[in-house]
Amino acid sequence: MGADVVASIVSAVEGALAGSRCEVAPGSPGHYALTVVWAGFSGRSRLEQQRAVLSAIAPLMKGAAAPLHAVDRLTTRVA
Amino acid sequence: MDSALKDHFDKLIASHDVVLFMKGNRQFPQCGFSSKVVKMLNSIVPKYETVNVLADGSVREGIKEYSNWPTIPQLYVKGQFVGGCDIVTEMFEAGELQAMLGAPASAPITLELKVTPAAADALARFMSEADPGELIRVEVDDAFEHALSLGPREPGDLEVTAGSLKLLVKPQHAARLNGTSIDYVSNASGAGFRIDNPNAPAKVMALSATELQKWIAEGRDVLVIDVRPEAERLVSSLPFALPLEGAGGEALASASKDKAIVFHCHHGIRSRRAAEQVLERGFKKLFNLEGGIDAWSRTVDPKVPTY
Repeated sequence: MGADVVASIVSAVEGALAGSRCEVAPGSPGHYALTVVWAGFSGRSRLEQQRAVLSAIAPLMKGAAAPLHAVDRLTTRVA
Repeated sequence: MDSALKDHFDKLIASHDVVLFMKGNRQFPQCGFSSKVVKMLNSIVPKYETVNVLADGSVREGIKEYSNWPTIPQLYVKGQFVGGCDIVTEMFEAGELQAMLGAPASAPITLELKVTPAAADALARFMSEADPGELIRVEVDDAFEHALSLGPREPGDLEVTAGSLKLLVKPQHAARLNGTSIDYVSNASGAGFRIDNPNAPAKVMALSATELQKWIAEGRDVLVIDVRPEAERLVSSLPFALPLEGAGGEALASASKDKAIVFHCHHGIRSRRAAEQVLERGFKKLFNLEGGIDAWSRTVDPKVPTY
């Protein structure tokens, strides 16, 4: 289950932000820490960078039984 | 989203330079992320507005939609959405948050402490026990609990002169201590320092049965609310208290936010919880009758039955 969620987070982020690299570290059940490196972050504020990632994973966070319950830490970096 | 709620957020954010939507309040953050942001803000600005999203489900969900941001806490500065815990942390570590809040590291720090003559005498006695090189240190923590202690100067310490005394303050405490007055009071229950910090947010204050009796005897303008259910009120009650589930609740709904309001129950536990909830609504002078009606029976009026 946990490994599936990690894979679906990675594919959601890397699918939405073409050419990005996403690393996911699982925490307590349902909690994950994400690091995303993407050239497309260049020139965007921290807020815009995080919004881009959050909107990519929003479908995984929807509903009471969402596989991704919470993002413990989100780090974005320009590639 | 609901337009009344949107208006509410618009006004809140327009009327305060810094607004933090969080879980809990400054004294008792109820989540690690909220607590972390509170600590960072505390080290930069003495006063800021917080909204406890746990107090109202529509605010909790509404602010997520309003900001288009999925998590709490959320920080607004000068009308602009800044971000959540991760962004605030990165900005704090880079010094950007300090600059945004108008507190560049090089700015001169204003710090004034007031020491009453009684406190100066007491502190002088305190100093007579000091080892050479020791000074009095004034500290404040994130819950606005204060401490006075003796100790050596540490790197970065600020030195404040109050009368003939020198006091040490850690630089990260300076903003939150500015304007604080230190008094020394003695009464029947003993003597001690009383520290009044104008930056501290309102909190529920403890009131003893004997103090409440004095207030009632003086005819002070105070609303006393009994939070117990009817079954308990029928067993024993205070003649001047109004029930929360009746006249007391109505009086509370129309009371000004500066009204002195005392909450009581059987032993003081339920009433403190009730008072903490009412505090979230912006009331400034809330008291809990410590020990409840039981303490009143035992220390003030034995004719009020215990149960």
